[in-house]
Amino acid sequence: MRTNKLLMYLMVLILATSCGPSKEELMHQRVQTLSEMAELGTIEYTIKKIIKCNSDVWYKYGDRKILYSSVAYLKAGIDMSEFSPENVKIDNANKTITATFPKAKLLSMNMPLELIKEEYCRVTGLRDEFSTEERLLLKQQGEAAIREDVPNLGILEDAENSAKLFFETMFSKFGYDKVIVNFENEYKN
Amino acid sequence: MSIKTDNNTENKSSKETGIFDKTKKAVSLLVKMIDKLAGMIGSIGKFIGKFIGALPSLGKILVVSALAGGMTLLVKAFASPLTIDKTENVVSEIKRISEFTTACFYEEKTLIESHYQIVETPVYKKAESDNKVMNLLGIQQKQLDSVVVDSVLAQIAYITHGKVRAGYNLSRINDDGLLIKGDTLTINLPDVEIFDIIVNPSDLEEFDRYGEWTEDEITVIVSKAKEEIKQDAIDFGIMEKAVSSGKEKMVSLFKTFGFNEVVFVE
Repeated sequence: MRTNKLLMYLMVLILATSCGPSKEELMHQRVQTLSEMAELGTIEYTIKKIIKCNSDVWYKYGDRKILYSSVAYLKAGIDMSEFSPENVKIDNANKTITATFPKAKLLSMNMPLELIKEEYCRVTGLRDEFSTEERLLLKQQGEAAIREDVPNLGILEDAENSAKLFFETMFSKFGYDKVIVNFENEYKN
Repeated sequence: MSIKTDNNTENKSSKETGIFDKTKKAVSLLVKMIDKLAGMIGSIGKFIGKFIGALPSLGKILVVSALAGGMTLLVKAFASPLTIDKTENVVSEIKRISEFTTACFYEEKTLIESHYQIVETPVYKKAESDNKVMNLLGIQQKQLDSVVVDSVLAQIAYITHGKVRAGYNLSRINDDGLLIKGDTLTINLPDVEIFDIIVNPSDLEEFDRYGEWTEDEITVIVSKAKEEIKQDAIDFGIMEKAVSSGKEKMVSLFKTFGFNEVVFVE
């Protein structure tokens, strides 16, 4: 009787602890959303970066070095959803249009994994090989380093210049003789 | 002259003796300190030994495991995290674009891949050495006997966050594509297109892995996932959304720029 009770408790315990999603269930789990946007991309930068790591620690004999070459595509432009109709002034008599657009911002960054190539790797002494998790961490750091450098690359200024040219050409086609294109004051990342 | 020389020699020797004494003192102080430190470590060791000795066997195992775990945690706490060195970001190309992105699809999905990999395990047999001394000492050499070939399941699970951006490439509208008649604007719109399928390294998370996986294999898995995300976006209606949202946004914009009516020709 006691043995049966004990077995029953054991079964309940096993069932209670095994209620996480199975791998099959995980495979079919997905979150999907579709959203509207109005982003005018005006410039694309191709960035090349060397990702290197020298993992030298005092408590382990040997060292690990790895070097990757990578490519990232950055697109910047104007988020037109932040543009307000009040920022447009039209003078039909003088065929003049004055428009103030939001500041340029980074719209997308694409760093394809296929274009991150291992150029060099050396592991010596008692050190472990770089694991797939560690390799991913290094690539993520490379991506973050490019993102951090966006304000210094000049891409936002170029995006505004390109947007200005785009709108000036468009407004001229619309028949305006005088076109004034301005941008708001603060850059948004 | 000779007296002067003697004085110099005396001064020199007294100086040397002074330096020698100081060094001797410093060394003896250092030895004393090391001795004290060793004593302290010894007494701590004795205390731990006594403490562990007084415990029952399960307690001993627990304490030793806790000490080992503590040491590992201590090493990990002081270990510097894996970080990349600072390198330049080189701009290799600048391209003017006119992409009006009007729809964005976002998907979070799990990637689970598995395969059987061949593992070769060598089996050795003991063999007598040519060296007589080695044989006398009982040290035998190993000789490859056979290789056992086995297949082992390797599996990997990733969580990915993918983004697909679609809209109108306005640079495809040529001069004939815009027609203005009074306050009516007629635009010959190109087809909507997918601009980017984005799965960056930061969009990936390794959830589980066992077995050996190469970087190239993972890249292939992610490339396959990108194609799936693109197809999911199409199935979810990204193109239709890009068209409806794009037209709506363009009408509102061109009306702001002075037109009363906007007509689209496809």
